[in-house]
Amino acid sequence: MRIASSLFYNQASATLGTLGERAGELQTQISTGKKLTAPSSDAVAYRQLSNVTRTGADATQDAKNVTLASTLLSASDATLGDIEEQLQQARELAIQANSGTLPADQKKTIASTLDAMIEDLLKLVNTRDTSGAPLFGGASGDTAYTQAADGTISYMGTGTPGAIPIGEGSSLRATITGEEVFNDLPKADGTTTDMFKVLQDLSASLKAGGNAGTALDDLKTAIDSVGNARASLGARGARLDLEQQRLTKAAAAREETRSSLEDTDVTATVIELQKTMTVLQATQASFSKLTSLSLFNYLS
Amino acid sequence: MSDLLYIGASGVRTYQSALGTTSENIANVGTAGYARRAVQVQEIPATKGLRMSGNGSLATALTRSANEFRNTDVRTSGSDLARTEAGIVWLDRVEQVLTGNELGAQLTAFFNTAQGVAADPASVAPRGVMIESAATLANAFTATGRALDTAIGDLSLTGRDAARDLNDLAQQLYQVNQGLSRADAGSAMQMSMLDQRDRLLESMSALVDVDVTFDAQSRAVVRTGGAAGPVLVDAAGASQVSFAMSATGAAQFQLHRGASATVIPAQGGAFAGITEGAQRLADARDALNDLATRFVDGVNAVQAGGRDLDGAAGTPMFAAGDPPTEVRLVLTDPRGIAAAAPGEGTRGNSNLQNLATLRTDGKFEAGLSDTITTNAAALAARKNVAAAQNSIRDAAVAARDSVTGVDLDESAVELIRFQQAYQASSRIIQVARETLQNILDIR
Repeated sequence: MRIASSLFYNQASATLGTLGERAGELQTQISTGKKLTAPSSDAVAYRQLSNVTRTGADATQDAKNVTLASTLLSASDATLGDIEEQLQQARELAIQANSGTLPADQKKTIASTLDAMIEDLLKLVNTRDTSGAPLFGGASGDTAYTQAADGTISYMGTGTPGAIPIGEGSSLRATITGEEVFNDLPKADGTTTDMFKVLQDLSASLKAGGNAGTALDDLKTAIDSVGNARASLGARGARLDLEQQRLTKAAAAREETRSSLEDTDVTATVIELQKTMTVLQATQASFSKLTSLSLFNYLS
Repeated sequence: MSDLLYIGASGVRTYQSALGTTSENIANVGTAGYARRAVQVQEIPATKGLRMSGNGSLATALTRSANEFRNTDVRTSGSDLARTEAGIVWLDRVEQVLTGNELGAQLTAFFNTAQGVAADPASVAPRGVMIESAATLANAFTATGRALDTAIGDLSLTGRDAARDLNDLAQQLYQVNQGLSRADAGSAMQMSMLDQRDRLLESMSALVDVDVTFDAQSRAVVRTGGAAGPVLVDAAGASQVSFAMSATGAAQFQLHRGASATVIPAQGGAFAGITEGAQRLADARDALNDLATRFVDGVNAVQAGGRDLDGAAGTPMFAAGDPPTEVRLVLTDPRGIAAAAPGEGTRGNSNLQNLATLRTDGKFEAGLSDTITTNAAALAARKNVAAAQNSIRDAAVAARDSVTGVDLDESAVELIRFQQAYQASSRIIQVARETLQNILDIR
């Protein structure tokens, strides 16, 4: 075939242009570390990558929620521990007061100790979480328990606070309401009472020179209730630990997928670039050799 | 003996023309559309009697090394390539528009900040974060919509430019046709007119697939959009081409001749690519409008079904404008986010569960990702097709240029050959003169 001179130059410039373009592409892949520059570079990989990115963003939020839930769980557990301790002491005092030989003034002293404990407990059940909401509150209300003018302490909340979403559609209640732990304690006679009523009744009875009555049993019920609540919180904590592990593992797996989808294989790319450059140089060299060949050079 | 002089002179004249033509070829080695020319040389035959020799040679006409079949190949493959390349431009734009403002990532962020609110519904801080995220999302919708509108506007301008270019080419071709009616066959003027004609036809084929026929005077009759399409240029004149976009975003090119207007059934060239690109942009517009409408309505419905931090029924969070992608954030008070279901207190978050359900059922992110991926797959396929069509076109150009192009080495050989023939012819004149002189010298 005749090779027209202009065609020869056009083809050379097209070839050199393509090689230069390819070298630039490889250079970008190496310098950015990414081989997937636009969705059209690999539509299937883009689809997977956008899923991976989305689950990654979801997992970040889940991890935040898990951390928040853990904080609330430990705060609840610590406060319940303090309350349990106070209740144990109250029960010891009740046992002490129950001995028939105790003089009336000593019973009064015990009663005032109990009154101080009730105040402490009121503070404890009104503990606030990191965002300022009552730890043992319900779905509404700014405080969990309030004391009326006549001294009665009652639970103010209604309902239960929303469970915290921790990913994959599951959620977990990180707190426990005062109503669930301290109220509706069953008595031996089948009626129910609450923690503050038991203590206040005990204090009143001792002040009047009476004895502990059913308070011993009732306090035991209260202590058990707190213990059960702590056990339940502990179980939830274990679930959170598992969730956290799952998130960490999933993050590692995701990173692996992401890397395989969009990261440049530097070794392979550098070799490919080297190859392209070699071909480019050879093309340039042969082009300049060929263009220096012309019959006109020999006409004189 | 005067015949010898005459023969020598005819040879000198012939090879002068041949040298001129070869020089012209060399000078136009880089001229686009130039077809190599050659001088047709004929013997001037003896006219009467039993003469032993003829009357020398005569450069009768120029011939042009062109092959109409190869030109047609170049035009067809060029039309196919131009269609794909023009289509790629707009698919690429759709890709940039849909990914440029990170709409998908913003949707994800919005739904995730809602999970943050669900974790701690009573405090204002996560609510503030969600409102900020909602504002960013509204901006992403608006920016994406506007980028798409800009792309549609650009397409409209490109379409008008393409129509104008074709009109210019048609007008020029009409003038070349007129020139061809006047040019003498075999003249340099005719050759240069034919070069121009072929060059114009090639430029036209990049815009629209043309069907070309030639009349006896080599004038081109051009139909657009195939052999059955409307006539763009003939000996009588050039038609006007116009570009129009409908309200739904569909584009078409029309050809006007006299009072009649015909839609060009473009199957190739930039016209076809632009028409197809307009459809892609319109589809992306529809998909985006649908996404924005469903999202805004869905979120507002969830809001309306819940209670805000003050126990009041939730008010709409977003307002959709016209087009629906003009999303505005209308809820600016973080307390206004209706996290709780009716009857729950400030720490309730059941209503946000509905938002999570909306995310799962609405498939907003997956839907957007689908639109992007479908477009990306089409774009990647087109790029492959373009690479193949490029090779086909290159081969067609190489085949044509091997016929029409100038080869400098070949020209150098011709130059020497004609120069020697010229010198030899001058030598004949000298021989004739010397021979004549011999006769004159007899005394």
